[in-house]
Amino acid sequence: MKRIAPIILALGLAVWMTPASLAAQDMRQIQIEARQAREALAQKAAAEKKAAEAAAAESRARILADRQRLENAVKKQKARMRRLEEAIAA
Amino acid sequence: MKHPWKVFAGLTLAALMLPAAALAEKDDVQRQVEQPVQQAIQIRRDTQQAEAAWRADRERMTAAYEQLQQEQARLEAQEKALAESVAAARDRVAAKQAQLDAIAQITDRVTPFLHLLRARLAQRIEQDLPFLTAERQQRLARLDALLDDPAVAVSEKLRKVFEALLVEAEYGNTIEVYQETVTVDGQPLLADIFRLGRLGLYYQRLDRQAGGFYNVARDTWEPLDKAANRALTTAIAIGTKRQPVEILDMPLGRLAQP
Repeated sequence: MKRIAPIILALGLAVWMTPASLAAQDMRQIQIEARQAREALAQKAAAEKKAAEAAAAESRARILADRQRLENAVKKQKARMRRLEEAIAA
Repeated sequence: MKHPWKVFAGLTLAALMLPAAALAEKDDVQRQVEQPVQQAIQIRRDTQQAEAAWRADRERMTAAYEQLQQEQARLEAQEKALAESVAAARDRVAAKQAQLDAIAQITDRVTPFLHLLRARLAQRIEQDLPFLTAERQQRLARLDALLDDPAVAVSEKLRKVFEALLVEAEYGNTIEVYQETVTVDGQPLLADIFRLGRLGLYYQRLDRQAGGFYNVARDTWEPLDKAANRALTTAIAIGTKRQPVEILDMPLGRLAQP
């Protein structure tokens, strides 16, 4: 009996390990797929951040250009009015 | 299988490591996916806020700009009206200047003529019968003062000179009686003076008893005979409107030869 016991234990372990091995294989496949999905998501997130930064930069540039154009127009208008007022006063 | 417990311990350790691996994986997801997405969202939110703020600023600045444009339009209209007003004023000034130039030219030409007329008038008075001497000399003096006054317009000077000429001309068409002291035979005599236009100048004593005439040739008062005195009395009565006009026979003397 003492000789048979390890054999039984080994056989039992082998029987037990076979489905576990198969399950581990599935888990690795799932992990690979999850990593790939995570990397794809990370790329999309980085792309989205880059796009947001680009849009923000474009918006800032557009606002700056608009502001400068409007401020220049107001400045020119004020200068024209000053000349007019001086002409009228003269 | 001498040490099956070792296998069991290895499996147990592996089972214990699984949650740690899962936690590390979660951190990676958070770092690689969630953070960039959150940052992108924050960036877009900030951009939207900046654009909203700029839209408010732009509306305010555009309103100010439009107000300035309206003010400019008002000022341009005001300037145009002022320019037209100034142009009209300049035209009026030019017209007035032309008038002043014309007046100056007329003044330059008329003033010597007025002085010439005044001189002729004085000469005429001096050579004329000696009636109303003081009044006529005063008129001449007033005329002199007027002509020498630069503040008086040349039109007024012209009017006064012609007025004096008209008065002098009127003396030729009228008769007049007034009292004056004349010198007869070297003696002063207060008498009624009868002026017959510019034809003759007569005097009659206040008692109506005697009279005389002014001799232009001799430049003296001389007595008339008694017959002429009656006609002289009638003439004085006519001159003072105490008697209707009638035909009289008056001694007129002769034309003086210059």
